[in-house]
Amino acid sequence: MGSIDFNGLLAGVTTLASSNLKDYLNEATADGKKLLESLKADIQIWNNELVEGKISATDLEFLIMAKKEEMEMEGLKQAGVAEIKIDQFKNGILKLIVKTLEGLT
Amino acid sequence: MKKTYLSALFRHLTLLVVVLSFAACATISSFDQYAYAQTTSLKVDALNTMDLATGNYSTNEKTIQELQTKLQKAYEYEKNRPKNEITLKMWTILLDSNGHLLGGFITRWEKEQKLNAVFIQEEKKIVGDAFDQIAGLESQKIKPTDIKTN
Repeated sequence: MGSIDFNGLLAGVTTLASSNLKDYLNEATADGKKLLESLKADIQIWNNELVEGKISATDLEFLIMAKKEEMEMEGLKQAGVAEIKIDQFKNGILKLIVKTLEGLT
Repeated sequence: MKKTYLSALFRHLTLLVVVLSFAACATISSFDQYAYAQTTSLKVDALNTMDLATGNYSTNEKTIQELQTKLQKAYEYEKNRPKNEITLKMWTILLDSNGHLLGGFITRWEKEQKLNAVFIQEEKKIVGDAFDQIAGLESQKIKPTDIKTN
């Protein structure tokens, strides 16, 4: 029976952590940008619709508040995705350990 | 021979303990096909019902009640899933009758009886996106089959 390669395991864990974090940051940044761009475009459209009399000031206020609540939900979604990434990371470490131990047999 | 057998047994037991420990400390609920299907199906029902808001609330009361019952059932299902606080908070915001998403839209419809067609279309986009966020989070959750160690 061979001995456990702890250095190899550590290198694997480091690679796993940096790739997980990088993926998460890229996704979160893209989602945040997309939401901000849609907010900017929506406010412009609603403003035009208000000026043209297609919606009322009450409608506009309601839509802005709805968008704010949608952004709160986006924040929660990102928090959830972060938790998923943590679980994926833990799962990845588990697979590494199992693979390493299996290599000893 | 006996020593080899014992060491293999010990290793397998260690693996089992590690697997069980990791499984026990999952941070968030795993993917649930029923919850995902329910969310996407309710999105369609909700958006179709919102289209009716150019007409009287009282005329459409039966359809609205049916939608609300389905939403309540979905909420109860989510409430009873372990480690599901984030998804539940998202549903709470979406359905809040004092808010401005689906729950608030229905409250306003009841209060004003009819709503403006342009406003309805704009509100539908936001409510649709809100449903997509819940479904999007669910679809990213780890599938139970992915928790396998090899």
